Amino acid sequence: MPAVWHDLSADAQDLAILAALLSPLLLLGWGICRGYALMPLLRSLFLRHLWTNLAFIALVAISVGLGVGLIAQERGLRTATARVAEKFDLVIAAPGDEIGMLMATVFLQPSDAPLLDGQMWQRVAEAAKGSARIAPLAYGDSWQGHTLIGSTAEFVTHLSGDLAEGTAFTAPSQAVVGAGVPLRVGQGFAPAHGSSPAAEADAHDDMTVRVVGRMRATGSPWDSAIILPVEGVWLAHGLGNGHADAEDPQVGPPFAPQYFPGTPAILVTTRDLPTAYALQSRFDGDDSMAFFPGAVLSRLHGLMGNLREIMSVMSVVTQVIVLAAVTTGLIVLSRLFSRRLALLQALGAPARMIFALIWSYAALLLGIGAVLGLAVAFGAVHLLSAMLSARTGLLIAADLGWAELHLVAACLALGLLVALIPALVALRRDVTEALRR
Amino acid sequence: MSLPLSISGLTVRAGARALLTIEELALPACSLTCIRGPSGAGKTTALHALAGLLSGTGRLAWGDADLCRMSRMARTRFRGAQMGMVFQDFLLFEELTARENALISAVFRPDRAALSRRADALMERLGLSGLAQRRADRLSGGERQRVAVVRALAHDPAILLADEPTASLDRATADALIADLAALARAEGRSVVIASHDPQVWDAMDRVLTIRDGVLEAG
Repeated sequence: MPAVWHDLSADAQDLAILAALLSPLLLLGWGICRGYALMPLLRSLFLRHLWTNLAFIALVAISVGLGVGLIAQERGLRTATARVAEKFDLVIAAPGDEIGMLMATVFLQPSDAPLLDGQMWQRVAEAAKGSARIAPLAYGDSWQGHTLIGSTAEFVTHLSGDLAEGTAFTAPSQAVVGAGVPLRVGQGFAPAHGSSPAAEADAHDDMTVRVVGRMRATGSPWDSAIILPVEGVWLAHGLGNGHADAEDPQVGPPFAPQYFPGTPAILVTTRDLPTAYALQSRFDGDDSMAFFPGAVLSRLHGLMGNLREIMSVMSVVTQVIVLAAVTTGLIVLSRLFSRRLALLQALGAPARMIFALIWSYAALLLGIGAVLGLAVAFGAVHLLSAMLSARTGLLIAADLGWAELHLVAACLALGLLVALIPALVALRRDVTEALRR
Repeated sequence: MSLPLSISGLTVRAGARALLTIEELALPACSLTCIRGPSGAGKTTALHALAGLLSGTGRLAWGDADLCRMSRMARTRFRGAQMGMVFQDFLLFEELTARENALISAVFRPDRAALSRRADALMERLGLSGLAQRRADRLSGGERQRVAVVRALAHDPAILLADEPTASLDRATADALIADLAALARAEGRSVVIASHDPQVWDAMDRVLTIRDGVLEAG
């Protein structure tokens, strides 16, 4: 049996879990309602207290929708951040906070970081020679809120592949912009010193950078970044061009260690894992810090995973509370139907039919609520994704998946089980008393 | 097929208190009987006992079926097969059409096609054909009670029990309803027991019984 299970595709396994969650209740429902044509009565009960029924449905839909939506959102956020970090194999920076450096280099969150000097650059370059590619990542300036990154043309290619438009930069005063930057190819701009809101807009007024290319969309904060040769960043700050000849028009490595002004981070892209681990081990010490963004992110995801579990538990608890409220409501509501139920019993309706009617009525409300809850979750997920994407620059493609369907199915299953209570309570009422009422 | 009623030593209790006592009573098949008495005397209780909704000690037999010896489930089954009931305030499902109300017992009966045919015929006979698709809450009191009668007779029961069927109707409508009910019952050979304090109903019946303080007298 385990072998058969493992041979199934992931979708088939998920479908089987969904069926396993729902089928006992479908069977139970079939067993309870078998032989009865309940639709006219269900329609009557539904229309009788229409607004109350709609309120019950809304309550279930909102509780399911928000619970499921938040969990789907968390997964979307995790997937989006992992996708961005994929491009960043190994980051070397000055010793400090790995998470802060991760946020600064991968997610472009403003940060003041100490610089790695030319000696360090040289050591990394020599260690990586033939087995890895390295690129400086120098940040600190901006244009209208868009972060400026000094790096290399090779890094641009690594990040976005072919350009969507224009060419790679070949001079310090040229730049390639991210897909979401409102600058046209050929347009010039003067960088501001620092990042918003404290950026000094006129600090580099004497420098005009011209856009020569546009990257393809990456679904990351880099879509709103502007990348220029690292020499351009250094020259804007009067630090030279990093080469032995100050008039050298060349951009990109090799840099002369004694003229290298410094960089907050070096990105190392390796061909294989052993090389990456060897470099990480070599440069993670007193003079520098080397970390795998993916590993740091994984730790963060671990923390988020704990949050996810808490959110899942809270979501289930909320739904159980809503279920309890709906069940109590249904018991009260079924009291209002007691004369009608008594009439049916007076006409010869068997107890199972009364039980089936109230159970199906509860199942109807819970079922509609659960389905609408999925729609609410779908809407909430897309709204939250759009809001978070706008805030972070991450393309968060959160969507409902099997896990959410399983959660809804489990809640529905629990609800249908709990719905047996009002059905049992309805059976215990005195028929003659209800008829006299 | 109609059923005779035979009662002896029947007592229906609520705790220690006797709600209904009937020493001896025999009603022939196909008879139309009225139970009269002041408010609170026990007319409805008597009707509920005859329907098997209340259980008692002694003997209460429709034909050979002694309700006092039956389980609740068996009484329900007997009621569903052999009885139809009509109530003072119609007890219709207001959100459904007249025809849906007339066919309400099709929800739990297997013979839906036969039930449907008979309900349509009864509706035509009681002048309700044109109102079949009208919602119950848009019918007059008389029309509602006619729908309730069709509902009670759609499965062709041997016994019809009615609790103050004319109490919510004006005189003319009440008279027409009782005339129709009596005619239908006689034509189809049904036993009818009606609880009513309406003298016009008494006049239309074969026999009138009186109940006082929960004691039904056969006289």
